[in-house]
Amino acid sequence: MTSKHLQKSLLLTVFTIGLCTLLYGVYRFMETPKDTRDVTAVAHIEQGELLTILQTKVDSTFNQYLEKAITIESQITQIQYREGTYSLLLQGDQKDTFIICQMQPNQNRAVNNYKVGDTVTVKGVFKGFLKDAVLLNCIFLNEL
Amino acid sequence: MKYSILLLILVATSVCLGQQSGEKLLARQGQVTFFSYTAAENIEAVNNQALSVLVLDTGEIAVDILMRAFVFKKTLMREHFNESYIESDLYPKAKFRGRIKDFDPEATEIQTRIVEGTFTLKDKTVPLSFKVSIQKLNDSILISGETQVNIDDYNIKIPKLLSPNIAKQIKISFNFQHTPYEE
Repeated sequence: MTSKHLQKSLLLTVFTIGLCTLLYGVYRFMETPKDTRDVTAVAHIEQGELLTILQTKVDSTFNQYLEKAITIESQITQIQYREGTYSLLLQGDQKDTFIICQMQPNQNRAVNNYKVGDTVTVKGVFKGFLKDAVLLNCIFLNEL
Repeated sequence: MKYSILLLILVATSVCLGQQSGEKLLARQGQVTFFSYTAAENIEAVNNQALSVLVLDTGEIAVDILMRAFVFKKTLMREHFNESYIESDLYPKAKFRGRIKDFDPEATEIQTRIVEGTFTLKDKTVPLSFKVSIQKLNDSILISGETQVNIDDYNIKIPKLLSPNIAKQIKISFNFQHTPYEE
């Protein structure tokens, strides 16, 4: 192989790597948040378990759920709508401590099928605790 | 008998007063939005799950914000925010602790008041004061307003390459509907 050929293939390699990097950069820049329907849940938790499990605040326990999708079965205590997004307040296992599920916008139509007191199974991404457990991008799993 | 009735009235009155003086209102799903405006890029994120507690008789207000609960339009923005700038694993919450000056919990008209307090982000606590609008709606109290924070005050390191994309002053707007709450 001549040095000219070597130079050409080197240039082609650099160009290909550069193009791939650029395309990946554009893809990452344009990437929108994942739809929870396409995310696998790491755990299923029923009413009465979540807060006990997560409020231990043991790092290893807490962190294994953080930013992960989990499914929860619980009773709706409140439905709130704000600027195109619904949030459900689900019953927790302690008095006055709840699970807040901010619904994914594509669930708006489905929310209308539910009312306070209904038991639902939702999947959402666990974001942490304030007074209540907070889950975002929730979807219904037992859609009516 | 007379003394017993008097004692009963006194106890009942003190219990009522005690409850009134410590009455707290709670907003579980307060909205906090931040905006970064630069010529290169505008960044906006909304958090609809901020927690706020308002003590009626003192006007004290405490706000906790879960940093991971900010919603961005783009995944990359959220990743940079949580992993590089805020380091949400190490500093999961931002906190505001303050007091509304001259707060009148009984006023039915819209009040414009100054809130003075401190804002803690990434373990850095900086004094912060701003104007709020307070509106009483039946048994709830709506507090809204906006303020600005300087990112240099909170140890937020922006790589040189990205510094044209992030404003030095971040505008924060908020909206909390406090409703009665019993501990």
